[in-house]
Amino acid sequence: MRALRGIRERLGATLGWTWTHRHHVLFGGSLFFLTLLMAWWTLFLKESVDRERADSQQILQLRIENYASVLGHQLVPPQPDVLDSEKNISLLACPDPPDPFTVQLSPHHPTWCLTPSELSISSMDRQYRLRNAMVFGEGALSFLLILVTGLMLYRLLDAEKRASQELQEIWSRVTHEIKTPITGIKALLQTLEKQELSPDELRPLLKLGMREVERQEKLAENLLIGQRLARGFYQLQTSRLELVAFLRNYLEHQVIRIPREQVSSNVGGFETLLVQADPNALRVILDNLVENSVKYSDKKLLLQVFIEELDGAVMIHLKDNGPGFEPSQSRKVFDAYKRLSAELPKGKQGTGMGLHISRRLAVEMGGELTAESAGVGFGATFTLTLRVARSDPGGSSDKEKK
Amino acid sequence: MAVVMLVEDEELISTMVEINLKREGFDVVSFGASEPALEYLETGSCDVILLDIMLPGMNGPEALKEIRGRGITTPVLMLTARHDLDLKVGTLESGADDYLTKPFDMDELLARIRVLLRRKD
Repeated sequence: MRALRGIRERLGATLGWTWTHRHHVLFGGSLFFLTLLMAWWTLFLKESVDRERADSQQILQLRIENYASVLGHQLVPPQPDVLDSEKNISLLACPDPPDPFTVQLSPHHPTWCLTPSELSISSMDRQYRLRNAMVFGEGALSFLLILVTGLMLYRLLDAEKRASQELQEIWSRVTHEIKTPITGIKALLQTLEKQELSPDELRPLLKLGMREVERQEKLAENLLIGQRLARGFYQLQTSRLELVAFLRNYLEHQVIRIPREQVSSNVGGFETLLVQADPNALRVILDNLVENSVKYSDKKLLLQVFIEELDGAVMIHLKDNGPGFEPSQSRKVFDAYKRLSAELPKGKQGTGMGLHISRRLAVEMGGELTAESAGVGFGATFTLTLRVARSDPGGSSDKEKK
Repeated sequence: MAVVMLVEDEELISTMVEINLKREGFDVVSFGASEPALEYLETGSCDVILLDIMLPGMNGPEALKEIRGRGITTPVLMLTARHDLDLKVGTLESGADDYLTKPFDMDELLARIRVLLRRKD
């Protein structure tokens, strides 16, 4: 076993592939082996057809010899209609010089001969040509089928392997996201256990600890919602929601994550604005968008939250001064478990689920979530569109502007 | 008094490690990213480096490569929440002296720092 592993490693080192490429080797080998088997089988069948043809010719020849012997011993000269029932044999005057395929009617009529008829020879040729063509056609078709099946299986296996690697990477990221806040909280608790800290020292530490607990809570929430959405179990409680009060309250609670002076908003300019939304889903969406801005901001974050009403819909824009992304990536940012790592600050971790879940929740509420950026380094704007709630079926919106 | 350089971008972890190191009598220089830490090493020195693997900008393994590339032999203890075996082996092979997986016990971290200091002496 060890010797086999040694050979495998030496072979891998020589050819420049690792044993993780073994499925390529297995597939290539299987395909090669099946092709060889198919080629051998085709040649075997062709050989059988050729042998059968030779046998048929020999049988015909024996029949001709038999007839020639019978007719040659009759005293009455053979008549042209004597072989009417035998379409495969012709009676003719013996050719000079003698033809190897003709048989003389010895001993009484040596000037007459029997020979295979033109029709029988051409029909036999055509029949065996057709059978040979069938054999080669079947061989080629089988080879094609093996090739197509092999390629399809290879693609399936390759996709499976990629999915498994991706899953491993996702779990690695999720594990990191779970463990990092725990590390901080554990260190805080262990320190408090051993050390007396003054209230002034303790207050900022507790604030940091609280932030980590919230981070953990949001991660658990995202994982749960992600699973429920994927299985179709997530039930939204969409109802009429007073958006202005909701947003004021929400932004008030964000001071734990972003200092007040770093957030600007036009929400104060509105009095009431009724929308169709699930308050919990809306909070999850806003949490993910704010968290996204906080996490990827590599300088002092400036977040603008502004709302506008347009054509029966309310739009909530969240604009940050973070790293942004290439405009062509505006849809890709919502892909599940995908992170635009090339465009984002290196080393920033995340599960890659937040934006995907947020968009799905927005759509489930009958709204939309879009992303825009002028390019890397120009910040990003996320726009959440919600339906305005009507006070009556044909009535106007409940919005009242100051 | 031994000087410990801490390179960690997570604020709470960094703060707590710093508090505990100071309580144990170490001097601490703390950075939230690799680049300022490497800048510090151009003129300053330390006795042990605690280096997180996932850092914004230049990550931990890249910073370690740079440190060893400059001929700095200060013991380096890598910190990470990731469990990948390849990452652990790769990090140790590129010059790290030890490796600690998050969430770690503060006592274990302090003990490992002392071991590295003893080995250095």
